[in-house]
Amino acid sequence: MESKYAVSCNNEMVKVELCGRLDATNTEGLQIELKKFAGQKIAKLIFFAKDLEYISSAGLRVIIFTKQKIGVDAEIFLIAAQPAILSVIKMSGLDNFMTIQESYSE
Amino acid sequence: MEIKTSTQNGATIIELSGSLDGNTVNEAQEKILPLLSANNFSLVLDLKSCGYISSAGLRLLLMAAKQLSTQGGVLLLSGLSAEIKDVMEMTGFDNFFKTFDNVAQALKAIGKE
Amino acid sequence: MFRVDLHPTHVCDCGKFRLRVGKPLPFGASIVPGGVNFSVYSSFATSCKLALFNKHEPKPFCVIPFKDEFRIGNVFTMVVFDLDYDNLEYGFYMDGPFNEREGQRFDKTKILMDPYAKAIGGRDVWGQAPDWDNIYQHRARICFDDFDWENDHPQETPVEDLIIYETHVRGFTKHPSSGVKHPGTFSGIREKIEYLKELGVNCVELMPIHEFDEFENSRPSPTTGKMLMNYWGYSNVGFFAPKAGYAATGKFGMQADECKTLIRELHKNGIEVILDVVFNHTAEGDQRGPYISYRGIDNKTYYLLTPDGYYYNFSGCGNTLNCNNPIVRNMILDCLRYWVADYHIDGFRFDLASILGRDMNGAPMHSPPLLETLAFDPILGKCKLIAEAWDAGGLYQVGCFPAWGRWAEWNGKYRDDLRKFLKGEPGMLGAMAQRLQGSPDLYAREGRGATASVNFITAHDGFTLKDMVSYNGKHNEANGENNSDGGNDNYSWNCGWEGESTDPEVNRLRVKQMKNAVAMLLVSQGTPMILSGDEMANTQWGNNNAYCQDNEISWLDWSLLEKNRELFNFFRKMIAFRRKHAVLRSRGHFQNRDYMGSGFADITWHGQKAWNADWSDESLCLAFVLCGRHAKGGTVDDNSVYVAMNMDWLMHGFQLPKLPDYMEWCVFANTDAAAGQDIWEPGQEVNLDNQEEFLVGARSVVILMGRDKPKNEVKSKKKSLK
Repeated sequence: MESKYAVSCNNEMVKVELCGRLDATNTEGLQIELKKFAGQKIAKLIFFAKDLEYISSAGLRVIIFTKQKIGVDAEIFLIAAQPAILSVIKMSGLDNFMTIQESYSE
Repeated sequence: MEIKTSTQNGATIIELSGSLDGNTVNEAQEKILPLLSANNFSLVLDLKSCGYISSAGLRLLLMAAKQLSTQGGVLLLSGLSAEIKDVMEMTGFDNFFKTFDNVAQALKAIGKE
Repeated sequence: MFRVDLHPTHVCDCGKFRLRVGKPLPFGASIVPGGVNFSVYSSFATSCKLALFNKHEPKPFCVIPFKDEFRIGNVFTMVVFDLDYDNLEYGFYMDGPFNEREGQRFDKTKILMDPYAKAIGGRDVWGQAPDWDNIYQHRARICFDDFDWENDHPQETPVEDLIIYETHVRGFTKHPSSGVKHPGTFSGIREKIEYLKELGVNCVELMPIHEFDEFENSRPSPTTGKMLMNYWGYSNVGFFAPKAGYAATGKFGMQADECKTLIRELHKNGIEVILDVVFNHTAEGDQRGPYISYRGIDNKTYYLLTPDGYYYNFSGCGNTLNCNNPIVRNMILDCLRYWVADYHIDGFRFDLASILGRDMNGAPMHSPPLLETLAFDPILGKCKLIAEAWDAGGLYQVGCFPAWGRWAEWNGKYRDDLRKFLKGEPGMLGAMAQRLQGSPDLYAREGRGATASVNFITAHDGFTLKDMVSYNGKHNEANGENNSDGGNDNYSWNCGWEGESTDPEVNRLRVKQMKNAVAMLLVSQGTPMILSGDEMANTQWGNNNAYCQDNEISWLDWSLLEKNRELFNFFRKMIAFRRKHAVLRSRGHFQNRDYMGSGFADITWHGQKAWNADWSDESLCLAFVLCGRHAKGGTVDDNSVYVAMNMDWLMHGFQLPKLPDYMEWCVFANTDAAAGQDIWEPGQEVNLDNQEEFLVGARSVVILMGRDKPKNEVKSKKKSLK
């Protein structure tokens, strides 16, 4: 599967579609995209991970640190993550910083 | 409360029966104080028939012990129930007395068996 | 010596007792030769009668009015001769105006407890149901104020050298596993003094020991059916009396002696005593509450009242004590002076202290007279004064509590910041740097120094340490309020599983996190406070507000001590390390410069690179060095200490700053190492082969100590340089 991501924003919600791998090769690009929202009021940061197959440390950092950069009060959601991804999130303790759900509806 | 005094081998023994509390402490004081005079260096207070000692009672014993000690004597207590011993320990009164199971042992300790 | 003023002049109406006018001071009941001097004040009462009871009897056996000539100003005072005060309980009938709007609530049918009662009956044995129909529930008694303190004198340990251990008198030994003769009592604590010495703490802070009503608000738990009680005791019946139900000899009325004996023994063993005092409200509640004392004696004086005569509620408990009313202020001063002089108490922690700074209308004052009075009082001159610097009315004064250089504060920001850092929240390095230094951002402004900060991660309020690493959220269902009570900002992390777990990885991480927490706490400047039981991983199963749980939830389970020896040893050695090294216990804040010429500033910051901490938001790694030559402001020569903290989920190498040639780093503690290798006895720190870099494990804390190299090693180095 091709590794890619797509970022959109409306209504104080930033949505990120993840696909394939999120690792050192593409995290920097994702971070640059997300930094564009710095200074705006962001209530929710939603990561759609149905097609995400692998996430590295660098990838994890993007998720966590984006909250610092663009929305300290924002709620982070991780939607439809695969078991392998969930396991990594749990082992690193990051499940404590986000709401993990099977699906997302407005 | 009853107080009986006797001597044994030159030692004075005071037996106290009943409760040593607010009601009886004045009477006990009147009887015990004269015995703390210069002629008595050590006193044995037999409490085997004493069921209860209140705060006031403990203080009377302490006062007697301190007065005796200024005369070079010591107040020995014998026959204390386990509960009374426990109470004395918890309220910090145990340091001032020597306690024994019975009069014979107390007398032995002061060499008057 | 014969005193002319102890000669009776009157006889009471029933003929049993002789009387004379008394002395207004001291207030309360004092034993004088032949009798008792009673003195009680009320600004608005029109008459007063003394009611005398035999212990436990429902009705008084004699009522003696205070004659007009027995009154001096607003004080009713008389000496009653011929009393059997060992067996006596007494109270007052007070008559006066009843006008709700004016704040007057006199009721001449009520029998009122003496506000200055030094001993109180009615709850002699904890949990023993009283006679609910009795008109006089909490009864003043006469207390012997003599006690042989032997050579006891205040330790006056500097506050920065204290290691405070917060505990609940009943909870500490009530559990059968404690093995003490009298569980849940002052005597029970006494039996555990050897344990406290082994742990190494030098100060115990006792949750409220003044007389309170454990039956206040008691109700059955909807989930367990057990009775929920007023267990913590933050509700005052009497300010001057130790709780009878906390004494094994309480049933004999000897609680004062038992409490004093405990304090004397603690002092003998080098342990100070701080009391948690509650001057923000009383157990009388609002207008629907009972008449225990203050409401019936002088409602308008004692309570903060609205213009309509209702009760202000800044405490969250129904009423608010009018602390800056001069009369109440004096009562509080009398109370604290009494505990210091008669009980040899070393310090006080003031619950909801911000209330003490509100004026008679409830408005916060800039320079509250009460707090100023306490700060300058001569009898309290060497006492520790600690404020819980907030109240339930929205006032939060951490960092700006009026201090006069005397007051310290429970540093709630320390608790929050350290917990966030511990769970790996990013962006915390700036805050951590402040907390580790004794919070100069909060306290340096007014020159208060590190001693203003009482650092803690856990306290009775909130999770225990074990629960802080085992639960993401609170579980207070047993409290019967649908889990809506208790704080929500716990900043806790369950390490991967909510609640008890059999997963060895989860449990290992939990132990490590607890070690991390106590390690960071004990290397921070300021005064550390530890919650009793944390050293053996005591759990309340996720209940973070166990104020009403008089059962296994709150009682310390001593069987955990053996199960958690590894953790206990870690605590013990960390405490010993802190006590040994003055560099961890400064009075003032750091100057951030090298004023001793050692080559190191008093404190320097590092990270994965020596001399260069990464302060960015993404960084989860921080290290610092405390230079030993600058210990206690340069007045003491100590070892240097290096602390590395890695809250990342990955391990990182930390480059070590270089020490002078004749010194080397050695390892004191490494929370990532296996049991037995995680921490060493102070003085037996182990060699470190690699002096350049230390690989700090994920979520770990490493503490190194600088020491002189062995002499021969230095010499041989010099030789080789020739």
